Amino acid sequence: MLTRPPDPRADSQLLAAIVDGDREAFAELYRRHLPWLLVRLGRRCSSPELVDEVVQDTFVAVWRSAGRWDGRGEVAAWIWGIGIRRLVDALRRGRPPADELTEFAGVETSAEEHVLLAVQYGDVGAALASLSPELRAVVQATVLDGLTTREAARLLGIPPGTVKTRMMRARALLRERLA
Amino acid sequence: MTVWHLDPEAIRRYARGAAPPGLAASAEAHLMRCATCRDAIASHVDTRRVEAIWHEVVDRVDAPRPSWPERMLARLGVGEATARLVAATPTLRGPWLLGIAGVLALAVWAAQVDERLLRMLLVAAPLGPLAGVAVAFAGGLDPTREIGLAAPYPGLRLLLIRTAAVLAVTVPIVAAAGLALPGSHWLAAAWLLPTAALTCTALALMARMTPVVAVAVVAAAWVLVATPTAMAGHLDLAFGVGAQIFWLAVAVGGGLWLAVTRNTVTIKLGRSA
Repeated sequence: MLTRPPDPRADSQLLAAIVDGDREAFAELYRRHLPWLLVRLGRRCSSPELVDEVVQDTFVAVWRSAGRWDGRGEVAAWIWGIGIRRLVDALRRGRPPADELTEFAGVETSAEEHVLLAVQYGDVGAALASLSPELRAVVQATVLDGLTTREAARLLGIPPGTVKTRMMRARALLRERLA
Repeated sequence: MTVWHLDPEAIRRYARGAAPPGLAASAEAHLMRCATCRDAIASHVDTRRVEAIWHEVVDRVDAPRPSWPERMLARLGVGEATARLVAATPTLRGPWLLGIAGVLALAVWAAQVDERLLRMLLVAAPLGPLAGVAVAFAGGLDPTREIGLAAPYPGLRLLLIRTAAVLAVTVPIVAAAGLALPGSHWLAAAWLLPTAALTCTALALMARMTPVVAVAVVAAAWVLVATPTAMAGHLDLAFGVGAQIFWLAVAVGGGLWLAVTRNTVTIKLGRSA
């Protein structure tokens, strides 16, 4: 399925075709969106098996509920919304994360990344990088992943109250660094 | 689409999970909007993994979709296998439920016409859930019967799961019918303990006989005892406070008997009446 001539249709057109049961369109959408989803979810869950399960769920959901896409924004963002919530649900359903998720320890920023960050985030990236892993994980889950406090708590394996206090602390620190 | 793109080294580090948080956040924000960079990630992901997940997805997309009771149960945290078992219970299919509801509606209407019929309704009420339990195990009606015979699944567990499911659905129907009755409202609840007692007795008997026979024996005994008392106007004998305590004791006794013998009895689900 991966060795096919590229499909000229846009993501939104593919979704519309999926509503009509077009399996080719589904395969194309999968080919375009599975890899990054796999990588992005993989950074938030220590078990590759669970990630595989979650992306599976996600694409089954995409196939079944393609009609529910409201046509606004990026299809990728819609798929991410499904994926991250499936991951949170999967974690809630019993298999607790191996340990509290405070990913990306051992930070070391190279010159070229500074340039990259300056382009996309300016000082924000540097300020973000200076947060402790615990605070950063909370910022990432709530601000970047778009999760609610409760969902973030489930994803990270900490109580919702802790998410709130860490978020408050992170906000204060970021404000200080960016002032 | 932006003209700015992640450089190949950044994509490689991000895809391998080696990107520091700032870079990762930056990359993820960009990936949401840039198809070119999303495609660039694909070459860093194991193709076998992508193919394997695709096959699983296709299998699930092709599989028949679980019915909505099954999906509801799964959402409530019930295991997939248990949800399938409950959903396949013959009693829980539309026609049966309609049948039970129809009979009860008729009985309620009749009870409003004649006082004596009201008493008969009380006698008949426990039979609804009981019949439901029997139907759940009637061989000819159970679509999972052949599988059930071959599967190494605890018979008692199957029995209890299905009985619970049947009661959960039929008892509210009967209760609704009871509330529609004229006169005092204790009547609306008076049949609950007798029903529990009869069901527990039937379950306990199933160690000795097939489910359908067990239910038939209990139901016949109930009708033989309760009908004359009800017709003679001695409702208290079957539904009074003393009687209710008796039914409670029978229900608890039957439950205890089941619990004690759970490892030693074989439930004969195989032979149906």
